[in-house]
Amino acid sequence: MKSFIPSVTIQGICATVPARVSRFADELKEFPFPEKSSIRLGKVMGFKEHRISDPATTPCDLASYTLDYLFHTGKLAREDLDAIIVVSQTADHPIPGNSKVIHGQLGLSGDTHCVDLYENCTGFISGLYAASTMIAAGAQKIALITAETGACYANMRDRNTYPLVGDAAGVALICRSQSPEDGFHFVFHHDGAHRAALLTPAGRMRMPYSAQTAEVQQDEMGNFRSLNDLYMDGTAVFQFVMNQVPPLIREVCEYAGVAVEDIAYHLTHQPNRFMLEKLADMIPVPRERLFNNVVENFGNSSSCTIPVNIAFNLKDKLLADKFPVCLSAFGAGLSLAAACGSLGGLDFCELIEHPGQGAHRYPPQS
Amino acid sequence: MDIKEKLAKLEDIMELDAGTLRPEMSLEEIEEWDSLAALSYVVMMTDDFGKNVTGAEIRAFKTVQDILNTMEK
Repeated sequence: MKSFIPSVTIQGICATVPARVSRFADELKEFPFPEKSSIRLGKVMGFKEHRISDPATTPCDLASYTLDYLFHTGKLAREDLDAIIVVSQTADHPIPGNSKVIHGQLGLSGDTHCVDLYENCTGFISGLYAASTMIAAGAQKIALITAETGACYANMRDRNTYPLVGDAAGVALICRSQSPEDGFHFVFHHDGAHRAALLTPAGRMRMPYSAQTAEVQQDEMGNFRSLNDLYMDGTAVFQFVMNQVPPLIREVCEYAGVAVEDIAYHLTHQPNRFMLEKLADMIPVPRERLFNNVVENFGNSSSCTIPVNIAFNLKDKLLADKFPVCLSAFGAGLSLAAACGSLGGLDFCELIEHPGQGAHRYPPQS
Repeated sequence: MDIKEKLAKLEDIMELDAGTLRPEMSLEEIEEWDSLAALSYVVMMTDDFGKNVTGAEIRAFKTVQDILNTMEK
């Protein structure tokens, strides 16, 4: 699907990562492979360290802390929020959704609308689209929140998934703009027939958790996981990205009437460094315009990678300047999403750390 | 591409010295045939042979010869 929504702008971005660091060098001993082979893989993929929440910290804890930081520092006024849209696949409870938990944790106004989207890697762009449609329908200010503590779904002895996963939250302030120049061109494609390539089999109605689903088994390649853990067919996902994403980016740029080479930055989802280097070469764009350093510093936090990518790599530039960007994401579904528009002149652009051990107000009490 | 060139490509992928691989060798005995080598193989097949190989095909390989057989345009 293609869609253009005018007079919408991103006015600020803040990402939060857990302070807890897990290092690849310390994880090597868990993998059922010679250390030499894991080190070689880590060098190519960009596995150095990643942020993984302690079990007491939930997606809502990360998200609420981010918003509380923005309220406390005067970057955002809670009464200005017409809505919060919360994107996540990990939840504090089966019922109610994360948006209501966050609403309650922060004591938001009863007039603030709360919506949950169950989305993964393409979730930030899906959420941006949902927020943009609400703006087009009359809303003024929306907090688009992504929040994931899904790293726990990767098995520590699965070298295919564990070294790259990470937890994070992101908040993007989406506002009505007076300038007709602002707005986003969106393109979405989905291929549900190939959903098995990236799948956590158990834990919901199709296959509830049981003693059997928790049984850890070794696969043909040597990795260990249970049906409760995330499974990834790395070859299929790699080919999906190489075959589908370059045409997606050309399609969204053409739709937006921008030449691919005039895009200042391609702000993509972050699966691993290797794939992103190849992707930049395939589009083709210079590698320095398509950042690939989120996995090696923080891990792949699904819908949160785009806010983390932006806050980590472009903070100063986006406070001072405004330029054309292309957001793109790809992953479980299998799904593809892209959005083209101007980004910059932000009110805030920050990356902060959550202290861990559950819910905190900002500043945290020591 | 003759068999020598193909073996050289596979040695490159597995970071082995030139002349190490022989077609009849079992992949189980080659420690360097790991997930990174498999990924490099996928990239090579796309770049050099214009082919999309699947994970199932890779898992079915038993010998170096099985890999060599796929290296055709």
